[in-house]
Amino acid sequence: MRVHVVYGNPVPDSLGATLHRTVLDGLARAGHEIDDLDLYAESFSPALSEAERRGYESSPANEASVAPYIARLRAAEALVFCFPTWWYAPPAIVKGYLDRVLLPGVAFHLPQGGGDIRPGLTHLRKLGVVTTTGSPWWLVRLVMREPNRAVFMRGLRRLMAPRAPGLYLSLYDTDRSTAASRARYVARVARAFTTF
Amino acid sequence: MRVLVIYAHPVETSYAASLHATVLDALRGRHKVRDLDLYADDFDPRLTRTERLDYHDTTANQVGIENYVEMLRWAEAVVFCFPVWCFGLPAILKGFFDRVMAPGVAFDIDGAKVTPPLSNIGRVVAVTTYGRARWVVRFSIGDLPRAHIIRYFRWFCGRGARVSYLAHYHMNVSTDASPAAFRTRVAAHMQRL
Repeated sequence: MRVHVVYGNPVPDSLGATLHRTVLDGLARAGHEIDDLDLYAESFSPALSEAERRGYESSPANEASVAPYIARLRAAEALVFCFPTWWYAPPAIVKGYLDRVLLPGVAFHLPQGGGDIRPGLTHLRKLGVVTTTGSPWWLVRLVMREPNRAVFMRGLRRLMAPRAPGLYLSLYDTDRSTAASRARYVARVARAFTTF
Repeated sequence: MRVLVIYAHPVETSYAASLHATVLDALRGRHKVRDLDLYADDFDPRLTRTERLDYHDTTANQVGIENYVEMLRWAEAVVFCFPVWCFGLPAILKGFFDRVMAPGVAFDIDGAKVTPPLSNIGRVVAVTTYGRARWVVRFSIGDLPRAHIIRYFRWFCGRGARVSYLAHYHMNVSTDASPAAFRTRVAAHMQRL
């Protein structure tokens, strides 16, 4: 399976970088074809521009400024996001990928004159998220009701590819994590992607 | 009152721009207003490698964002004006949270205790628009932008800071009348500030 990995983390020697490598290694071991997109390495610009906003709904002209990213998305059979969760959401660089690349006519279809939005990436066979969260799991899950998981697994997955199974992995409480708890999480990610 | 307006939309002729103008018109003359237009300011939303490495070092983590920190410390009220895109804040505004709301600016990490130092801010207002219906956002996906403002941002502000969240949901199927009605509601709310 051809797997598109979208990665957003500014620090090369961080836990997030280790997780990214672990995802790639796991996928390679499982024999998948990998297309890795490192948004920071590409200096991806996250702000939807004025011209992009003006032409947002006019498909397919809206694809022009991000055509290479869209081609990679369309060629993918599975999509995996890898980023640290900041403020209960992806970093701005990843949020900007969602804003600029997941366009009408690409990720979903807006019917003329209202009606239900139709998914646009139904060829995806899996949607994964690998992340880390500073807050403890009970705060994220019970109090905040895990907004990041909801946005990716319910919001975006249903919008783009409702039949693709979702996989959401997070290490919680990273502010107080230990070398052992981080290693356990890396091993868990390795297992999940070796059998992806 | 000293009011900081934080605005995030790239198009001058958009509905968001008209809401932004409505906010400024209602405030000017009665308050000291500073308008932070993130797009006009060419704000870079990307937390850099150095910023990430220095994130918890309060002696270094304000380098490059001094003017934004100064604005937040100056304000007695903050008005956010933005559209909801892809279930969240526009990337440029998300980047403002990522880069500017750092330890020592928006919160102090003192061991396990976290205290809010933006106690100068006693009033927070958000003016926003959603494509989807409120019930879909609330029960199916989760209203993350609302949480960003009424939960996370308020948490940095003075104890007892009042928050109003003015939102026009379901813009995808809005009639001609409802955006105008919402703009009137925003103007009335700002007049009372």
